[in-house]
Amino acid sequence: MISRRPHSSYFLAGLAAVSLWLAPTLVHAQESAAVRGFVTAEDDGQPLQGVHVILRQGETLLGGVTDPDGIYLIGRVPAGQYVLEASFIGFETFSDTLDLAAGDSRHLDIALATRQAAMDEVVVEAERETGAARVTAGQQRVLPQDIELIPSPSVSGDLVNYLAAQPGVVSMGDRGGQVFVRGGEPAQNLTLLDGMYILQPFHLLGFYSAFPSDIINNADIYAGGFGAEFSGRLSSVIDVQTRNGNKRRYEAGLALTPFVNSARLEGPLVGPISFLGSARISTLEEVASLYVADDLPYRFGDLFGKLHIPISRNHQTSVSSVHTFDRGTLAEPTLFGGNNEIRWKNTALGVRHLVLPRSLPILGEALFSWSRLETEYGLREEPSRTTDVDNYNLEVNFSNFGQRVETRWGFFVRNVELTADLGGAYQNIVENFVRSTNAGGWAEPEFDLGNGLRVRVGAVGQFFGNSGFFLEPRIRAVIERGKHQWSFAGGMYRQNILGLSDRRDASSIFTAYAEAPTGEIPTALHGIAGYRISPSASLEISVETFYKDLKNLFIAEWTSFPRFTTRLQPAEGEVFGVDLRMELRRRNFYAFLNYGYSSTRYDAMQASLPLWFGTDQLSFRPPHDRRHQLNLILSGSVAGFDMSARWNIGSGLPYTRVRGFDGFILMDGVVDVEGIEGFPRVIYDRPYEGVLPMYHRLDATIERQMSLGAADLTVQVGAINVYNRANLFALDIFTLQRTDQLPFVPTAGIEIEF
Amino acid sequence: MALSSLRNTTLGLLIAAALLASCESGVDPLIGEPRPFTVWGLLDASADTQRVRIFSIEGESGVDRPGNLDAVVTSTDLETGETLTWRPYRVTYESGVTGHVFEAAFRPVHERRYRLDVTRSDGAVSSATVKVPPEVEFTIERTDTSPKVFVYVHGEGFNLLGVEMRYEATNVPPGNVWPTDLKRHPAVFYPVEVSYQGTEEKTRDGVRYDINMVDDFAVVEEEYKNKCLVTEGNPDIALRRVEFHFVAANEAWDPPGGVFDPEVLVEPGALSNIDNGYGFLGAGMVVAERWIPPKGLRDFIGFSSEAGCSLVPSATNPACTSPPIPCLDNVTDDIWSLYL
Repeated sequence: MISRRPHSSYFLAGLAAVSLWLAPTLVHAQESAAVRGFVTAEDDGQPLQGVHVILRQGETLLGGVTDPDGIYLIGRVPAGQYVLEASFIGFETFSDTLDLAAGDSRHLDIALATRQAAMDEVVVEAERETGAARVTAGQQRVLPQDIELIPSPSVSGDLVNYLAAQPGVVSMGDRGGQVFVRGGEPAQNLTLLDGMYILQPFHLLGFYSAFPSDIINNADIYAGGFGAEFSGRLSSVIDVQTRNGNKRRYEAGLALTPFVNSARLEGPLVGPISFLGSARISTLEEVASLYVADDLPYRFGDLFGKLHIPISRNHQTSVSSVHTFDRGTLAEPTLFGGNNEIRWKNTALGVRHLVLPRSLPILGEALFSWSRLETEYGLREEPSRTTDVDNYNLEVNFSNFGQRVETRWGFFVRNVELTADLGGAYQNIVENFVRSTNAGGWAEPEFDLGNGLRVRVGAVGQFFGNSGFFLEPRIRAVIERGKHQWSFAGGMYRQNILGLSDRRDASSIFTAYAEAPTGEIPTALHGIAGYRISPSASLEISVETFYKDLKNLFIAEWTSFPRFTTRLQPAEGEVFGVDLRMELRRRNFYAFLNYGYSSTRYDAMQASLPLWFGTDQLSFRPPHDRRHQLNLILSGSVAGFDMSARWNIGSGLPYTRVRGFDGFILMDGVVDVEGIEGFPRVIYDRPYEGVLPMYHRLDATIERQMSLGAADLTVQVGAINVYNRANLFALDIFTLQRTDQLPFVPTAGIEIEF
Repeated sequence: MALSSLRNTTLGLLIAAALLASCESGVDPLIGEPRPFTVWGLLDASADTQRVRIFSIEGESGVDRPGNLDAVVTSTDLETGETLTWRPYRVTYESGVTGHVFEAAFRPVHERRYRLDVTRSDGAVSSATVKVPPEVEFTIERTDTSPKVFVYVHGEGFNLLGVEMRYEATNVPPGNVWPTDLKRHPAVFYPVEVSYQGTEEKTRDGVRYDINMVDDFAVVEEEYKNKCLVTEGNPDIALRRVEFHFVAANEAWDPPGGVFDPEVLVEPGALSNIDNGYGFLGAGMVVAERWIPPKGLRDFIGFSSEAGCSLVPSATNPACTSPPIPCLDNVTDDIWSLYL
């Protein structure tokens, strides 16, 4: 228990630190000027990210680029007359003359007009700002046009397909809704949608998630080494920002496919307020199952809505909400599994407020979000296991802009409520309710040290429930020299909310959540080093190595009883690997080849190990340890047809082999061996020493876009698993039943946008 | 250039894919187990008939072993060389599962070693060798007026297992809580065992167990409540008989850490003395003494001495109202067979 007095002391100390932090900014604000504002596209009012905004005075250049909200802020500008220029490929350059006096704080919003002749150029250049090989110390920015390059059974793309095509990202195949990033488990990923925590964002069918590309503005993927603005997770961050609805006119889209139907509507509401709404519902059971031999017992959908409300020139608010649902049976019913249908729902609401204060060169962000994940397993009327997670998140973040240093800092309070009814499966606890609070602050200045060297050094200081106060240092450095870039990142990470799954069975994706035992918070240490080269304007190659040291993990314990277990055993882990990426972009041809090598090992420390295996620790490969993975994505345009293909090959996953089955009777005294039926028992080999067959699959699509006057029509045909590879999805090691992924499935789709 | 490049790459990709399509995708997770049998049982020096349960180790899950078991069970007295062949018989449990039990009519002699062989027709043998512990002496101090009982166990060279007081209690629900078509209203016999394992006190020549039947009654009552056999307004549990029992087991019958934790012992080999097989064959002497406390003592402990106590459905506990006894999953009496 933390006493009240230390809390107060920390709070006062925090306030003092903030005051000291702000003091120089306030002093400088009196002596110099600042210019700030939002840059948007004139035709639809969307914020433009990556616009170069500079102040020119003779040979002196001051400025930077806009962030995903289209915000620019140039601080500590000496008084004088400047020419402000905002330039972005594909748009007319904006220019204005500003007379800035000491203490001036000028707000100037800029709307850039489209340069029609250069539309293609826009696409090419915008993609060059991101790109599949453009990875900097584990960080990668993804734009919707990147996602559209990956073939999918829907006409429009989905972020999960892009993720699954990255090296170091392991999915269990085309179903399951589980994504493992560089050895991390799904519950160790921090997934944010407009700041809302989404715990289970990936749908049961692996081509879909809560992130359809047509609502995305950008997604930042951190495969590790993420900065101090993110905390509370061990492995990775998927930070998705949605776009605003069109500010000028109404737009709608409707797409029909055998897998999913979707609809989108956006436009202005009142004045500058815009809305964006998107809905998708699966049609597998009604349509695809008519011509696919396998059962497709999946139902899922998602609903997203967003309001963007510019309150004044300095204030903007957005309200986002998302609801997703999934229901399905991943593997055949088994002798012991009974009804193994799993159902989950995500519901979330988030409010984000941006402020550019008139008097300070600071960008402020306040964010409140609530999200809930409800999961059930078993019969719909009487589920055998349920778990609910409620997340409340309040955070305030700031960015101070200077000429050589940009400082970002903030505070947060998170409250998590965990409710579970696991039928005694979790540490023999039938019902469980836990409320866990996590509060703290973070700061991360980024220094531009010249000669292309930028260094970001930060830290998170936070309380975890009753476990106490923890400090997590973070560092990131980037050196850019011409076509070469070197990058490094590292840090310490902690996570007090555990996701517990019985990973002995891939189809058992039910995850129970629990608070880490007091004083034993899972901890990870990340280290990443990368090199990137751009030999030509169209070719980019990168290589990145990574290492993660994992302490205080909790994994499902071994048991020879053939049943679900989330009884825990302590463990440690080590992950290392290398990712290679090569991306080629030509006007009508795109190729992305990547290879990932990854090694994940856990050291289990169950108390019974000395008795069972004669050792205190048992080192093993967990079942998501895919050692080798290769992706090839080809896309091109021929005679007006856009073709896209993805081939993915991965080495086999570890699993535990079975030696036989017998019955168990507990000989604990006066035992009537005639009267006791006995418990079924599995005689396992040593854990995870078997390797499943390798996985590979080719997906391909061809689509054609046509203009029908006021509407645009897109027709797509394609196929999943073109050469009908029998890829294993799940092997029930209790019953030896095998469930395969989707066979060859032809797809077709149509989308109309107007 | 771009078109030909795309075409060539696509062609190459398809050829490679076609080759890979023929790659092996099968998997056989069953690697086989050379050990033929799992054996559970004990040689009881206090019984005239010995029994063991045998599971063949199969490639399919479950405990059901329909049909005959390809096994011959023999036991050999390693001191005299006398060999007995055990008689096989099948047991069908309520679930329909078939089990294989072997029995032999003999009484093991204290401090002798016996070998049990389970032999398959192909010659594969699972076997165990056990030594029967020395004879145990014990005395029970009890009176007709006190709920306290003292049990003294004398001697050494054995482990005391399954030390329990067994309360053979009964509850007779009233007629109105049974289904209307039930012709006869049965008494529900639900014995409860209270463990005294590990509570022993050392004495000069052995150990002593201190039993308090008043404390035990709280355990019995809680168990009856859990089974919805007593409810508000009807706390009566009729006691028929008590039994103190234990196994004076051989020294090899000793679980890791002294605890019979099924989550630990379920691991094959965790507590096993079967060569070329799994399971456990114990040896020992089952010791039991039964008595009926007099009426006054039963009342003092908390039991009802009246046979016919009623079960009134609880107004506040829905689990105990409909049906009146929904939790009788492990009551041995088949009350539903009373339907005509």
